[in-house]
Amino acid sequence: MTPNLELTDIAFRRHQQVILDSVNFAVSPNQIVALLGANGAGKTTLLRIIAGVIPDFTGTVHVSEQTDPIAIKAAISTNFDHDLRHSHQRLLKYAQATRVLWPHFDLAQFETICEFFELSTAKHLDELSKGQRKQAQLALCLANRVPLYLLDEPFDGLDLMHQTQLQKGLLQFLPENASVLLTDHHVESIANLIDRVMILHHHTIQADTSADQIREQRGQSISEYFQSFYQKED
Amino acid sequence: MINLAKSLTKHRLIILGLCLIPEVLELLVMTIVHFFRPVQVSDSLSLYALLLIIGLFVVFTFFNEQIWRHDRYRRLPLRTSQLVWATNLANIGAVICLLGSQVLILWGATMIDRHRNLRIDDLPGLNPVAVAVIGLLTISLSLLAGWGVISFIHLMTLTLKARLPLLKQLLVSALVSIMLAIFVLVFVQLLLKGYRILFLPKWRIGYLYHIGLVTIAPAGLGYQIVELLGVWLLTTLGITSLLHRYVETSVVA
Repeated sequence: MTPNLELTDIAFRRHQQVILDSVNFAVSPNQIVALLGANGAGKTTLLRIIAGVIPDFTGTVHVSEQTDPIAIKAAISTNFDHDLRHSHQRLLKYAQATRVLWPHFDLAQFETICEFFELSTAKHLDELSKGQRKQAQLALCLANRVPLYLLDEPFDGLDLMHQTQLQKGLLQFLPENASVLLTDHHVESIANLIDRVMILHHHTIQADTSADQIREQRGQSISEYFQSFYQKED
Repeated sequence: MINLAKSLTKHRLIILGLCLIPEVLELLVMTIVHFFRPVQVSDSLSLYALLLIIGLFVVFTFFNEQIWRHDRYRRLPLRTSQLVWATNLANIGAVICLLGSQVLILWGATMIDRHRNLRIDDLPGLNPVAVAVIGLLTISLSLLAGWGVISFIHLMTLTLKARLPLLKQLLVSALVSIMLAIFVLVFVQLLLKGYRILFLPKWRIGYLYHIGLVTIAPAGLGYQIVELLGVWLLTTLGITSLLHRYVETSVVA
């Protein structure tokens, strides 16, 4: 089956410092992949390169076999497209404006997802709590019906209840054959969500294995696997 | 592209609407005051028009930057040229709306002055509203051209900086800041020069009317149109070719 995302030899330097080097991987349809790594490893940078907002990298990004940068942008939805912090707009108005700008955005789906999260679309964006903002970001992201979703720390700073609710929402409203590439520092909280784990270390992907393999063959939790990786380094 | 332009125009108009509030208030106050003592409403409004023009210039520059700085815009599946033209269209839309509001306000003010038998000017054969329209059009075109220059410099800097080491980036920033400072100084000086003329007895209708008279000759307006087209052409070609990779980033390098 054609991968939803394929990266070949991605390299990126900032201020002559190597951030990413020889990053190669592919993500198949229906896969939820966790991109793990220490702070500053380059996870967010890699997501932003795939999303098309960082210039001057080398290598190729293919999304559903598309190579045209504009087609790639249209085929990706991210949670960092929607900052939502500095506006007094109502959530529904914001979603209506988003629908106008994005070709695959489904407003009815957005309202359904908000109902699922029990989030009022009449709320002003600057009145949303942190948990509600994360819900709104995910609802906006998932209402864009595309093959690839990039989620940068979607559950960061949330209590367990909110995390569980968001994860349920993600699984319920993810389109068929779509893939997710997400980053998170709280490895254990996403353990039940993910199919595959990749560890970004020393500028490249150092480990790439399925979550089941970690649990069944290694007898480790995802968190233990992640920690053992760094202990090996020490 | 049209949708983005509409969305951007709406944002601009909100700010422009706020800029117009003091002007409308002033019109109301002056209308009341003129029943008690002789004042010329159109003169007073011209000061606000001047302030509005400076504000407008800042607002346009600010909004232009939003597109390139925010992921919300940079993530849009539009080509660089489409983004550039969406911004251009939005600016034109905003200027047209502003132009309409200014014409209406100045026309209202002129009518009030006429009602009180205050003579606008002794120059024969010129319709004051037409002169004000041409004046506003001229200023709008100059502003758009100015905005184009600043936008071009800004985006050139971004592209250059992305390819240079840190020290050279700082150097480029410093040079560009100096260039922009000179540009702004020259611009303000021109505006002030125009404003001083306002106080000469012959030009009683105000700054906009004066500008209109100065440029009513086809050469004046024609010059502004050519300047605007030249700057737009340069900006659009420059941005589209030089900044192709800045927005359309996911390409093989």
